[in-house]
Amino acid sequence: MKNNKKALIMLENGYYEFGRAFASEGTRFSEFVFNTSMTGYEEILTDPSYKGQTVLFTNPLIGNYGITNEDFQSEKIQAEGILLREYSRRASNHRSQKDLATYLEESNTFGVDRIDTRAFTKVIRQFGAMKGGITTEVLDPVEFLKQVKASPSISDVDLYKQVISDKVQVFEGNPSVKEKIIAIDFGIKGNIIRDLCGKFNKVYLVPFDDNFETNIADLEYDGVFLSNGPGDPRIVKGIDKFIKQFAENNIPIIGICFGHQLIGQAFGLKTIKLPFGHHGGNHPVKYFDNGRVYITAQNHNYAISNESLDASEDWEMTWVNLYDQTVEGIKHKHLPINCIQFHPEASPGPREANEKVFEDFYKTVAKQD
Amino acid sequence: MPIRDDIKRILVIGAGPIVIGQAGEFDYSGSQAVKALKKLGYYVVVINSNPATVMTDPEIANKTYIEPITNDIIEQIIQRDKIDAILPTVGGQTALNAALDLEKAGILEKYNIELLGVNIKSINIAEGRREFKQAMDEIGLLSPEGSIINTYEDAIAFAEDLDFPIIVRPSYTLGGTGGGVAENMEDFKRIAKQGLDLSPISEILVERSLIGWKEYEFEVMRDIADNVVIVASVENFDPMGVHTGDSITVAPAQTLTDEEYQTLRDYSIAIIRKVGVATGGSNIQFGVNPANGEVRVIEMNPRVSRSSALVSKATGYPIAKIAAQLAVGLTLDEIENEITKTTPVSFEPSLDYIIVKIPRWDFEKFKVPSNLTTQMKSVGEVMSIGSNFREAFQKAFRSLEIGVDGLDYKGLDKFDDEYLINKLVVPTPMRPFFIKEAFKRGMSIEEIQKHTNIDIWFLDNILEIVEVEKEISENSFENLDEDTLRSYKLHGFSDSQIRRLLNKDTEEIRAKRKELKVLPTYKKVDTCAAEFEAHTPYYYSTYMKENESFPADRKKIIVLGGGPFRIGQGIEFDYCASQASMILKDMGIETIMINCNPETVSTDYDTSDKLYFEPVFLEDVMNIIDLENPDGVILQLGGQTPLKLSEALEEAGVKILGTSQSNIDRAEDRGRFMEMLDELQIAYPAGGTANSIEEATKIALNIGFPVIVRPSYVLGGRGMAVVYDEVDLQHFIVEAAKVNEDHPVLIDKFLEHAFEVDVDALGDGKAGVIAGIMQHIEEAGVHSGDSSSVLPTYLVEPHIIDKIRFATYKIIEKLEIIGFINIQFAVYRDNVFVIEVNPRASRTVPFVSKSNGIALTKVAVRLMLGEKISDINMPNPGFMGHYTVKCPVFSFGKFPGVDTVLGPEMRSTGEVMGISEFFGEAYVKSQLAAGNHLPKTGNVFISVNDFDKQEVLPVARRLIELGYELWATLGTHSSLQIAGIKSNLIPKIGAGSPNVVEKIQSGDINLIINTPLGRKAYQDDLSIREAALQKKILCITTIPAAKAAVDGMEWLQKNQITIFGPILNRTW
Repeated sequence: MKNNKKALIMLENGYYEFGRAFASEGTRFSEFVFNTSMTGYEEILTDPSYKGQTVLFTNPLIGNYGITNEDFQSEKIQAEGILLREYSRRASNHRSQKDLATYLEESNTFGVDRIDTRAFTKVIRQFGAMKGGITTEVLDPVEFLKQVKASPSISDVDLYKQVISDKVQVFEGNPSVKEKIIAIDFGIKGNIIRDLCGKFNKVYLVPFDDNFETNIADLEYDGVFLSNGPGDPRIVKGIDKFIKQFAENNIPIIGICFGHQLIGQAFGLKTIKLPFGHHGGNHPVKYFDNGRVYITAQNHNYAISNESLDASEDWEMTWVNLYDQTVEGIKHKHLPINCIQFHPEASPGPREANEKVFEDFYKTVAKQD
Repeated sequence: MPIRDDIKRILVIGAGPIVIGQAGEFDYSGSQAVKALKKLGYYVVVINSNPATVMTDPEIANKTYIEPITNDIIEQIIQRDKIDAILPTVGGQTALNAALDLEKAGILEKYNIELLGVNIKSINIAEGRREFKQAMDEIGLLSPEGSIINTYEDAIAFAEDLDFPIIVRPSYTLGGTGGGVAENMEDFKRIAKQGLDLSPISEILVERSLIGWKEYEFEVMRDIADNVVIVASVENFDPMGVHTGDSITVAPAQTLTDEEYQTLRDYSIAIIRKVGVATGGSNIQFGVNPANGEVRVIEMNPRVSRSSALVSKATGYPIAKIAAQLAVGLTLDEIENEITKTTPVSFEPSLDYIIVKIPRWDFEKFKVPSNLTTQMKSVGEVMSIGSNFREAFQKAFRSLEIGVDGLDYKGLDKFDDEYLINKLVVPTPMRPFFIKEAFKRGMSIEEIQKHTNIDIWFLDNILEIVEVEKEISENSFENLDEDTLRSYKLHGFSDSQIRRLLNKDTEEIRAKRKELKVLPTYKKVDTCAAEFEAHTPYYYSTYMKENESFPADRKKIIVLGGGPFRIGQGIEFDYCASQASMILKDMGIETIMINCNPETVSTDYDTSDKLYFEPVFLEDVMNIIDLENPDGVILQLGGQTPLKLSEALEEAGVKILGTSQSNIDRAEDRGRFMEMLDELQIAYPAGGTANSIEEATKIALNIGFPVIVRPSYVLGGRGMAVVYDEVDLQHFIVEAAKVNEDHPVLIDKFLEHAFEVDVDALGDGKAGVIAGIMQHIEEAGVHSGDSSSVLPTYLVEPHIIDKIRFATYKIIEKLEIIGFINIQFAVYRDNVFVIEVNPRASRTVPFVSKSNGIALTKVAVRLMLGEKISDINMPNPGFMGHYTVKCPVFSFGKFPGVDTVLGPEMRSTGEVMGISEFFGEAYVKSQLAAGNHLPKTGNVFISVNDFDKQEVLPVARRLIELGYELWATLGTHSSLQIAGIKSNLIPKIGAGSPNVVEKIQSGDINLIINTPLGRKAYQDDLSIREAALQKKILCITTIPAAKAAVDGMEWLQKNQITIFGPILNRTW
């Protein structure tokens, strides 16, 4: 254990708990979310979608199997910190390369345990994802609450800009097909790249930055993919124009999570903030095409609203969440556009929808049905 | 999809008697399934031979038959009740095998009956070792290297090419029966032969042992639309080599990365699809090589199993109920999660706690080594829930009721290192304690890992317990502050453990805790880790910040459950406790259940208004009482476990409903009890209490041999024996009873050839009502739990019955019994002696209730709430026009080498009931249901001791009359000859060939009557009984049982067995 300091965790609504900082120290502000996955802390920590967020794990024992680099979803830890009931001081797995505390320390990420994670989860559940802070320095709750309230809100920040690379990367994919795609990067998970490569001949990973238009100008591609990413999709500027252009040129468009919401927004569908968000690996979604239920990994606070979808003549719902009937996938009735809210790439989470979704993506791009 | 309307009437097959490997969990699953189907509008018929089940309560199904589960009987039910479909997946292996038998006999086809939830093809793939292995090959999954073998010769030839250890798994047997791990060729030959003998299709799987690999289980559900969910993953603390039923397990899996977990998840889904389980639950076991993650599929159960009951309790996801709903056409997304009430069950539960299951064994009863192998030997289990492994682990040890209050076992420091290491290497129930001892001696985690193969994650948690223990002992009572004390509690330490480490009283620790506000917080088990609001009040304790259990502001009563099943305290008490909860609920009183046994109906979140899944241990019970402040606590329905708490609870000022503590003590304290009997002028066998060998000998000589010896305060006759002389007495006291001043032994005159009568009665504090007077078939000296008993009595003269009635009423009045009482009488030469009084519900309450058609627990609860017998106006529990026979069922097959002779120590694991207008038929049914084969013709071998040589003559004579041929060894042969009864002489072992054992093994003997011959002839005797056990030939060890068997055989020769009408409850 690198550290063993008393830590104060404070939410902007004034709920707080004291815990033990087992990794890192100092003071940090972020958005607080929970995740109910029972495995996959490594994947979650390194998922760029968690940029700006502190993740509370409802699974009480974390760290049990250590850290294995191959399981990472990006090159580094993206989350700001993790809250646990108990950090497992001993890691046991034949693949493990180091323990979790060491890994957190290396990137100066907070690890706090001895928290009543269930009580905490219920607060977040009731109030929605909230701003908050962790500190080992200001242990006075009244004082720290002031600081938390004064801290910037992540919904005002273009978080994705902090997690994307500054250049185009090319990934060789499946040589037995010819279709190539552009993946617009808002903070893509490693496994999405792997899965896209399994279906497409080539994947150009292009960051959505000021050079985007220039970067794609010379590329040859058969479709466009919009990736997952952190933060509020409603504040992303300038993407609508490109989505519309692609659509007008009849270029197939596919997307996951953040990307899915951006696509919807570009076509006038509304994005709403969910009361609790979906953060776990056990969410049932139904695919209308075959009537089957798939257990999926999910991580989103925002969703395309059912009302705006119902009101639209151009769009149909393809996947629905069976927990709360929210939209999990949409398809354009006339154009080759098909995108989903949940995470078929899993990592962490169940993989069962993987083949179905990526096959659908391929068909959309290859214009087969 | 809507539910099916092409079927209307469904037969649900129960699991029959409790045996090792198939316990109360199937009452839980069976009753859940029945209730679910009934709610959907189906006409549900139940067959189960086990009366001690909630499932066979007449109010549960539309029609209930307590009958042997055989083709013939089921066919009669099919005809009478116009059955359309059978659900065979909630009654364990028994129900599944019954379905296979029906199919084989063409009965399913003949009546156009559909099997729900499973098809014959998938049973064959899952249960047939060969088919399963091939199916796994076809989907690219690896099974352990091995081969399916059907002959002994092939087995030997195959094993020659494998490295030892080698595992043998017989096909179609329960709980690994007949299997084992062979360390060498000699072992292998023995186990292979035994496995081939016990497999109904003479098939074994011989495979390379994966001993030391990590073991995981996945519980999978599938619906008709091919939606599949994983309900939970389970990780075994004990690596491969110990049967999963005998392993300590945790859920969820702790040491799998997401990548590894998802791989096993994908495999599980692929397997359930490949095997083709149509709908419902399955359990799949994997072995994982800890060195490289290599995975092998071990086996699959295509039905609701012991693990699914555990997982249901561990997650709040009711697998059996959902399986039943899926079986009639619903899909997972159409069924509501009752806990959230807003989401469907097509999801995978997320746990925000850890559960630990620890099996409960009763090795001392069987006098066999306590090694744990691939053959399951535990008789029960506990589950505990906590925030971390240490908390749940220590809590589970307190739940076990083995005299420990955590991971703490006195006196292990006296063993040398060599002994200790051996105890680490060879798995036994004691291994966790030895691991702790090894850490205390400074052994490294790596070394312990090398000896045990247990994952270092678990070992490190035990190390942490050792470290915290040291920390506590270095601390002082005065120094305890809120944070430290809470952290000790969070590591699972009980007040009494902390007390020992700080040299204080438990009460002082408790007071300190309250003063510092270190109180347990109760958390909900909600299937979703608080992601949604939960409506089901199912709680466990931990030491966190927020308490989620809020006491209701209305009248409430706590019912204490019985804790883990063990011999002498089984499912009967779960039946009583569950009944009480349901009755109180109906009366509008809030019911709160405390229990820690996952194999029960009482721990179903549906049974009570509130469920605390907590140890039935003083500290834990008191914590709940402090929070809830109940109007009363019911102790007398959970067997001896809760009753043991009565004194302490009363001292703490808790209102105990029912008989007062001082009267409970008067019944249990031998001195006070005898005083009372003297005063009432009721006879009891002469005897006394001895604190030393000398005293014991003096008492025995005084009252005259034979005497019955037992430690005081025992359950199920533990450590009890009948001794015939001084040598035996001293031997017994030294070896078994370990007498000293703290552990006195009781010595009573043994009334030879007395018969025993068991009375269940109820009292209202003054008046009593007798619910049933049962006559035991076996004579006194055989434990009442191991005797067959008949209701009503069939051989007791009216004036004797009168004496029994008078004595019962006098005792009820004197002890001011409120609620249940059970009294055992011995009838000896026209005199009635009281042997034992239990001021609580007895093992026979469900049997008597079902025989009489009176829900006795309902009456008892009303009495405990203050009503009088005269107010209740219950129907007269007299002769109902039928006989019921209760027959004990043993699990001797699990203990090779065990002696099957009956004695004062109880060893049966379950019971069945036979019911008929005719005594003979009721007896035959009970035997049939117990799996005891009464032959209609053939050879009977008789070998009895000198005491029985005369007694056996009438039995022998009747056997001849009925056309059986008799065989006997020299002694018995001579006495038969003198009496003019023809028998064939058969050599003893070593006196010629074929000798008696060879003759039994060759299958030439159809029934054995063998009363124990005493110590000298012991080995011969034992070989005979062992051979009988192996060949599944009924071996009767008492003369009265032989007489009843002959009655039954005569009946069987002349009549067809017919079903008795459904079991009904009389209303009043």
